[in-house]
Amino acid sequence: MATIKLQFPASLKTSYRFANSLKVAISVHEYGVKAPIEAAANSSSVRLVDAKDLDRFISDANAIISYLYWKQKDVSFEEFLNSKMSILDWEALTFGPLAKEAAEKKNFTQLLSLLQDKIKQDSVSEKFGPAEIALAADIHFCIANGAGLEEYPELSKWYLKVEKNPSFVNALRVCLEKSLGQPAEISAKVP
Amino acid sequence: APVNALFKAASEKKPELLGSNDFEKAQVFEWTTKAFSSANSQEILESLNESLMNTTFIAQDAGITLADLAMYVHLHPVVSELSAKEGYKLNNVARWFDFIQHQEAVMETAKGLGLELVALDLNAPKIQR
Repeated sequence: MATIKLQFPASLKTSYRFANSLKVAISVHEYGVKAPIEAAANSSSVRLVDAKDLDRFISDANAIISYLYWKQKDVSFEEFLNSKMSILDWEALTFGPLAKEAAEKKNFTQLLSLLQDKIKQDSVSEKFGPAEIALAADIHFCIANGAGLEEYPELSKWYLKVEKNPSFVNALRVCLEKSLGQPAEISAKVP
Repeated sequence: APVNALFKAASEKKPELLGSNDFEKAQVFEWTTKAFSSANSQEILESLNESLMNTTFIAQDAGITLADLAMYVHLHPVVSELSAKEGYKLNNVARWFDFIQHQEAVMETAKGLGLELVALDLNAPKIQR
């Protein structure tokens, strides 16, 4: 893998920007990536930067987690296209805009219903692939904004399992520390 | 899933449109997705302008990719409306857009889509004394 560094913007844990940083942090832990994380970076979104050429960067969380997945896992690009990429499409183009709207209105009913349907229909796994990571961070976003999962049993059951995943636990800790601009050591698994 | 569908089609017929390595593929994924998003056009223009600061194409050395084509179509109505001052402020986007719209293959397809050539003044505005 090219020498990379990650930049996390300063963000509140209720913001969608935080959810995007969380996605990337989960990937870092899950895929055993070794990369420095710069906190409170001067960018509006989370970034993966080529440390040897700072003009080369990826500034979209789903593209970053996909890149880290391709690099660390023995998966062909075709497999990726035919498996869960459509969920990332949905997440970016449908869920993302609705999430920002829901946070403004403090109404997460539609979002949680959509997430539950997605988890049921697309046979989402408890193992962290890019799609599962994106959905886990999305559910955390809803919860951080005060939404409850009581009325969404399938969603709740799935989330209760994935939130115990060490990659999720560590990523959340790092993001909370990084979002405040405090130094945090990343403890990625050895590949 | 429009991006997924486009990626599958390109992967089968013109894989070079997806970039030549994983980093470029991720950049193509990012910007093709943004081309289909409902995100604020001004935000997209500003972030694209930064991304294109030292590059000719969106995915750097890959040459023209799906990201350039999707973004060209997405931004055509916005770039068409830019004033000379706005175009100068977004000079990297203006340079990139002008280069893409003059590619032979793009010109043929654009005509079919009803996308006219956009007249862009790439010179710095004159200093008024």
